[in-house]
Amino acid sequence: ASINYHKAKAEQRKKNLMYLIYGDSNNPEPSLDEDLDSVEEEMSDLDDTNMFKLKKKKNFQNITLSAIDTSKVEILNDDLAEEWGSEEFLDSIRHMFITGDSEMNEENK
Amino acid sequence: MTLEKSVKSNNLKSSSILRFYGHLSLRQRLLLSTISGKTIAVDKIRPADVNSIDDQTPGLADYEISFLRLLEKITNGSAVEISYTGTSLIYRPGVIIGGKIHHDCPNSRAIGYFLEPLVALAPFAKNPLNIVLTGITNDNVDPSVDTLRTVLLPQLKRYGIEDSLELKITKRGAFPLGGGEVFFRCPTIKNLKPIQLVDPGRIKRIRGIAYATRISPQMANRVVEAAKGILNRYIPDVYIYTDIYKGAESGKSPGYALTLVGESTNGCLLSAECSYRPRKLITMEDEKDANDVKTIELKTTTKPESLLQNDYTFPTPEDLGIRAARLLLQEIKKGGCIDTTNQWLAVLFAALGPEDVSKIRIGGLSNFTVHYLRDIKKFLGVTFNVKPDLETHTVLLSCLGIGYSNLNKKVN
Repeated sequence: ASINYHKAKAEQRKKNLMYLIYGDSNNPEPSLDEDLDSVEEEMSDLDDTNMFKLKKKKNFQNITLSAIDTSKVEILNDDLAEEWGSEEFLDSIRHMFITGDSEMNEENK
Repeated sequence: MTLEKSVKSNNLKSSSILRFYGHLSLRQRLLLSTISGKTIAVDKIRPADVNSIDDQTPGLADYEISFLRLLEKITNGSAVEISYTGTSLIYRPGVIIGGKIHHDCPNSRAIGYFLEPLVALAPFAKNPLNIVLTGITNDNVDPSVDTLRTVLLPQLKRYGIEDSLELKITKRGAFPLGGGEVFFRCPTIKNLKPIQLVDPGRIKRIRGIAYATRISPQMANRVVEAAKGILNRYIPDVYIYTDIYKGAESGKSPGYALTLVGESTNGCLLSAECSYRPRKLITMEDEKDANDVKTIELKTTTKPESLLQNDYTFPTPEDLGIRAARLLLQEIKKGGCIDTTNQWLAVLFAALGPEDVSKIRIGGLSNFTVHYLRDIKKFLGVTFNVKPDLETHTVLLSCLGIGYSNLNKKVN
């Protein structure tokens, strides 16, 4: 039964990923995150014929790489330090290196 | 052959213009338009909007116009129509001819912004591309020329592009004044090879380049030591080359950066990079008493793009080295065969590949790649099968290529 459950879950996640990228007939391009949301919101505002609008002071700090045409992905320094600052976390990827092979096996034993 | 037909049928149906909105993903749409031969119309490019950021000028940015000019240079018969306000454009792609070209990139974006699409276009040109690009070589917004040279170019070999492929960094250029220069040479090919990149293997060695210009060479050494301190706990085979530029080769602004590449037993390359950038956030009050020419220069080049969160100022070179090392570990942890920055080329070439299944394992989709997948569907009609691998937390992408072939290639 658990296999079926996992299968169903995997199927669902697969659908979700496919949906996230290609959407469906109702929503051909689902937005990806808040940064893009805000950009799209601004775009749709243009269609309105409101002549007067409060000028929104956009915070520069809110502009991230995802709103810019670049293949780089931003990772904040604080997030990095939080994760990679701990010894445990550093050790968790040892098996990704050729040298870490044996240690991984020891752990499994 | 399939595309040959579709391109022809599209040329016949001149009314079939693909329409897009906004400045996001403009570069990839121009690239896909050039490859597929489909005309595009883009509207609402940074429209003059009361809600927009104060500094933001409406319409196309200078680097986007520069990229359009670059496309005109490497193609024959392209037509670009830009509206009076610059907020909409129509691009009719011509034939990619390649050849000898010189292009000055504006300092608002690094050379990587211009070079990335060239890497994808050049193999399909009529003549081999020989291009000299000047501008900023390393910054924190676009992939640096080092990453392109050490990670993106070796990737091309998998597709059958390798003879006389070269990227030479002749001069370094840091933000804000740039002054760097690179030479890129790419051969042409007839067809791409399909790829099966599913097993990332294990990391067997780490290589890197730390460069420094117009600054104490000691900076590069300190960056290297800090990065090694973290990476040596995993693997002894860590070698970081320090590249010190002097005199005319050192560009116009001081700077240093570190690019790290992890190479796996299966030849997968994962990279991370970080560059130093002196940043001064100058308020209006400060501007008055700023009599230093350089600070004023900084102020005038301050655009929304240059005020990104990722423009970290590093108190010491050690901080930069540690950050770059941690970024590399992050990339390795994801367990993909292709690093995040270079996913786009892998999906694009998989879609353009022969009528065969290409499979790629990546560590997680970036927003940039998702937008690329959407545009690939629109231009080339290729839908990827995206399957998450729950065990390794990776994503498997597979697709059937369209069998794109380079009809322009000169027969020798």
